[in-house]
Amino acid sequence: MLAEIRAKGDAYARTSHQLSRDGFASFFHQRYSRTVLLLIAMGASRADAEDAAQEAMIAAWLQWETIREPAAWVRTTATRTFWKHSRRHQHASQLDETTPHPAAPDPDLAIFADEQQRILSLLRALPPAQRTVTALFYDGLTAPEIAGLTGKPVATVRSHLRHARKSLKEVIVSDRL
Amino acid sequence: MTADRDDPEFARLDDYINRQLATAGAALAAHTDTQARLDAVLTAATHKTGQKDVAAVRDER
Repeated sequence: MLAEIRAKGDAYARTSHQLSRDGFASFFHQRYSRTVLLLIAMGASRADAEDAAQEAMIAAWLQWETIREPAAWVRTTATRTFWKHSRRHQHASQLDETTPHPAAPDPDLAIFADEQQRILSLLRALPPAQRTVTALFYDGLTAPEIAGLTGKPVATVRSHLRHARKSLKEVIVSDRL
Repeated sequence: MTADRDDPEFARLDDYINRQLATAGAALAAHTDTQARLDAVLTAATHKTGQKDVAAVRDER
């Protein structure tokens, strides 16, 4: 009797683990590339973006059962991982106006068509604070959500967003809009 | 939708950039072996869990 109950418990645990793994796999396929693209738009090289996204995904899987909003969780973790690595390597891309712009164009971005490369280059050339806010905005976050992630006041986020979009609008020629 | 996203001054700009980024995302996905990446993540997570288990046993001793 006890063995039967234990066997049923083990089978349930295996099924539960498999369902959990399937759910994570589905999430990973939906969000991995999008997370990498967000970090590239923030100024990361493709390699750094992939490393940060992978690190965030490992952390997500390790606590998958307790994460209520995995997309937001992975976005936040990947972004903070990228900032941490940027500070360590002094390629800062966080909310600090004194930090430099991304250096030379990343040859890894050659996988994108010309117009997508141009848009990404324009985003990556924004001043750091505007760049971060704008990348998060085009990833679908609202100003209050961006404020929550970056620790900046909502009014500051909105101001960065407005300045960034004005600059972008001036550069992206009117015949494309 | 927020007031930020509804701003008519930037509606066409936002729409254009969103479309370009969606295309870029599709290109990135096409150039990524996502299954291999997933396998690497699961393997790395298993390795990390194993390391924690070893450390926990060591601490108990």
